[in-house]
Formats: sequence, structure tokens, C-alpha cells
Amino acid sequence: MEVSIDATRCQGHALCLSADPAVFDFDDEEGKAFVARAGVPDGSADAVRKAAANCPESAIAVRPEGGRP
Amino acid sequence: MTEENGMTRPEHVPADLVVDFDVLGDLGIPQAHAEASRWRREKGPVVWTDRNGGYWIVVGAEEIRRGLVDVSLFDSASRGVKMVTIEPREALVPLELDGEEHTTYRRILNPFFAPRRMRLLEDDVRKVARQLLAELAPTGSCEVVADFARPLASSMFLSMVDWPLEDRVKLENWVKRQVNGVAGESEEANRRIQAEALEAVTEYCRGQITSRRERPREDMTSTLMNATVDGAPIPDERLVGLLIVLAAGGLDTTASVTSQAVELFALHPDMQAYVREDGSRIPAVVEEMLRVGAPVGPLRAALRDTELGGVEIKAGDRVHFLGQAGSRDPAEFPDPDRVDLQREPNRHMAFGLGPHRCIGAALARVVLAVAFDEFHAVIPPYRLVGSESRLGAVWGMSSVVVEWDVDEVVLP
Ligand code: HEM
Ligand code: SF4
Repeated sequence: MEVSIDATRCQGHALCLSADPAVFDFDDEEGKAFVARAGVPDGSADAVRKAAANCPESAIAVRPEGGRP
Repeated sequence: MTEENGMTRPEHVPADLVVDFDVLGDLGIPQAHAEASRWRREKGPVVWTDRNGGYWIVVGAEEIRRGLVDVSLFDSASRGVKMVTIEPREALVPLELDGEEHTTYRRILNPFFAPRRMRLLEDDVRKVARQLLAELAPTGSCEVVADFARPLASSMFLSMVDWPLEDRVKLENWVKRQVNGVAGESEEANRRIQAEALEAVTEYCRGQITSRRERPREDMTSTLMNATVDGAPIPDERLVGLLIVLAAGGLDTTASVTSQAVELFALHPDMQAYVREDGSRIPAVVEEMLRVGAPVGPLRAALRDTELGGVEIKAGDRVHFLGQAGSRDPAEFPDPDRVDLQREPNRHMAFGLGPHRCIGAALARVVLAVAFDEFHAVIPPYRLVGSESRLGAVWGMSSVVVEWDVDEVVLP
């Protein structure tokens, strides 16, 4: 599973950071999240799916490894 | 334009979309929610009120998302924002800025409100909460707003900007009048009340700046004073506008959600027990309380003629994106008036959306989590004695009185 954040949509609500700090990181100057590792470790799949479903700005896209967004 | 009883309504507003909603009237929060659901059901996602200068009210979740995210449609600067129309004044920063200038100020502010930095404040918040509760617990009852919710939220804000804690009550009262006016007063009277309170807050902020010019410090206020925009120091009027918004954001909103939550828990012993049992449940509880207790709905003005939820909106029209109601839109939130402490997903709109998304959200989440955690750690099962809510620019509780059995109190 792979995950990406659309920086034009992300407004830095930081819920993803709470969901899984191993996958999501945060740029304190820009006030936006970014993906620390695009390939999601198996143990994080649920947390990442949850983060995508809860992102208020619909900025998080999840897709299968090597798949299209 | 049609004029009736001093109220103005543009020609393009269809009569069947007009509702009678006075955000400064004497409606309580539950009644306002009941009204908004009825409008959504009977009239659709966008309605109009003639009150307070006349504006659109958007209650549909999808329409609110679209309006707040697409900044080519609505701006914040000209937002006839004010609940009542007032004389032109300096912009509140960054609330009433758009585009580049808005981004510039957000960049200056972002590091102060960085989510990880806010989490470091948790221990401080906890200390303040424990102090407040240690005094309240042995008395067997309290008025949650004045005794707990406000002092907790305000102390955190005041220590962040390093303003004197003794000024807390004075500041809270000004901010309350500036933001919400006084419910039940006439539009005319409220215009004066809000202007006077704004003047008082402005003077206070100027005072904080002046005292630091004379003797610089290491706090957030001083850091902002030394920040630059395009190589020059932040102009004084922008700095004051910024401090005013921080005060308004920091003093009123978080306290509103805390008090609404305690009122709800007081009426539902099962929820109290649920929160009390397991601290790991609290983050989801905080999100659900933000959803059902959302206190603020962003205000904008239309930049061009557009359509929203099938309704024709013209350039210049003022729009109130009622996030409070959007967070209870059944199209997005199943069984929306039911409080579900495990709701998932929960894409509520309490902090707004788009570029003006509340910069204090991470701080507010920390304060709310600690408030719920500590209140239930120290106060034994409690009951509601009485409560009263009011609307305004920040919906909130005027009072929430709860009581408990003193002999059940076990102080840590
Ligand atoms: C539960 C608590 C809070 C709620 C529900 C809340 C809600 C909101 C909302 C809905 C907005 C968007 C306004 C708009 O789009 O026009 C906003 C903006 C803002 N809030 Fe909060 N807020 C809270 C706490 C705080 C705190 C604690 C602070 C800071 C100390 C704060 C500072 C701000 C600032 C500076 C803005 C303006 C951001 C901008 O225009 O870019 N808020 N808030
Ligand atoms: S939850 Fe969404 S909007 Fe918020 S920081 Fe993460 S990606 Fe950005």
C-alpha cells in the first residue's frame, strides 16, 4: 500500500500525524503534513486508511503498491 | 432591494428561502440546531436571513466544504463578516486577510502552533486543570464555564503570549462583548457594545506591545513584534489585529466546547462513565464533542456571482458558513443528532476548512483532552443543576451548574 498527500489541499489539521507518526510527518513552517515514507508498513495500513477517511480536506490518497491513485 | 422594518433584502433572494434567524437574538444552541435541521429539510442547504444586515446561511456539509476551500468564490477580507454591520476598521489578522498576505502571516504564526509543540504543553495544561479542580472538588458543585472551562483555556493562552494572568477576567469580558455582543440587545446597541469592547481590547494589546518596546522579552508577543514581512517589521496595526484574533480565538472557543461537553455528560451518566473508564478513548470523544458542540461558523463575502446548492449568489453577498450545522448534516453524518463517542469517520467542520483552518486547532485539542481527562479524574459522578446557552459569533454556554457528592471526592 502507498500513500500520498496533495499539498495543495492539505491545510495542516494534523489528524494524520496523530493517526500514525511513523508514516506522516509535519512541516512546522508551512503548517502542512507530508508523507515520511510512501510505502506503508503492514502494521500501519489500518491507521493510514483511517487517516485518509478522516482528513477534513480529503488530501490523503491511498492506493495499492505500484497502483494508480 | 426591498426594505422592510429597516431590513434590506436583495432582489435575487427568493422569498421561499428566507428564514428568521437572529444570531444575536435570544435563541439557545439546541433551538438553533433544530431550526437549521428544519431549514435543510424544508428549504435546502442554503437559506437567507434578513437580520443583522442580511446574509446567506449555508447548512449543507458539501456546500460548506466547497465554499471554504474554493477561495476564488468567497473572500475573508471584505467579509461583511460582522454579525452586525460596523464602521470600516483595521483588518483582524490573519482572519480578514486573503491570498499572499494571508499566507505570509500564517507562515509567521505556524511554528508557534505546530502540533508537536502544542503536545509539549500538555503537562502545563494538566497542572492548571488540577489546581482548578482541587479547589472545586471539596465544594460539591461548580459553574463549569467560569470556574473551570474559561480559566483553563485562558491560562494557556495567556502563558503562551505571556500576558499577566491577573488580567484574565477583564480580557475575557471584553472579548465576550467584542465577539458576541450582548444577546437580546438591539442591533444598534450591539454595534456600540462591540465597538467599545474592540476599542478596549485594542488598547490593551497596544499596551502589551509598548511595554515590550521598552523592555523586550523572550515571549511569543515579543517574537511576533520582531518578525518581518517583506524585510520590514510587521506594521503596528497588523500586529494589534493579530493579537486581537489570538485573544478571541484563545479565550472563548475552547471554553465553549468544554462547557457544552460537561453539560452533556452531566445529563448522560453512561457517557461520564465511558470517559472516566479509559483515557485512550478521549481523542475520539474530543472529536465528537467538537462535532456536536462546534461553536463557530466562518463568514465570507462572495467575490463573484456563483451558485451554491442550487441557489444563485451574487458578488458582494455576505455568507455565513454554519459549520455547526454542517457537522450535523445527515448526508455526511449518519444519525447526526446522536452523540456517538466512537464516531468514525468524523470529518466535522468545527475548525473550519481551507486556508483559514483554525491555527489553534492542535492547542485546542490538547486543552480539551486534558479538560475531559482531569475533570473526570477528580470530580466524582455529577449531575446537572441548570444550564443556559446563547448564540453569537461564538456559540457557547452562559452557564452550566453541576453538583456531586462531596464524600465521594478522592483528591490525588
Ligand atoms: C475549540 C476551539 C476552537 C474552535 C472551535 C475554533 C474555530 C475556528 C474556526 C472555525 C476558524 C476559521 C475561521 C474562518 O474560516 O473564517 C478559526 C480560525 C482561527 N482560530 Fe480558532 N478555534 C478554536 C481555538 C483556537 C485557539 C485556542 C486559538 C489560538 C490561541 C485560535 C486561533 C485562531 C486563529 C488565529 C484563526 C484565524 C486563522 C486564519 O484566518 O488563517 N483558535 N478558528
Ligand atoms: S489530516 Fe489532511 S489536511 Fe490535515 S495535515 Fe493531514 S493531510 Fe493535511
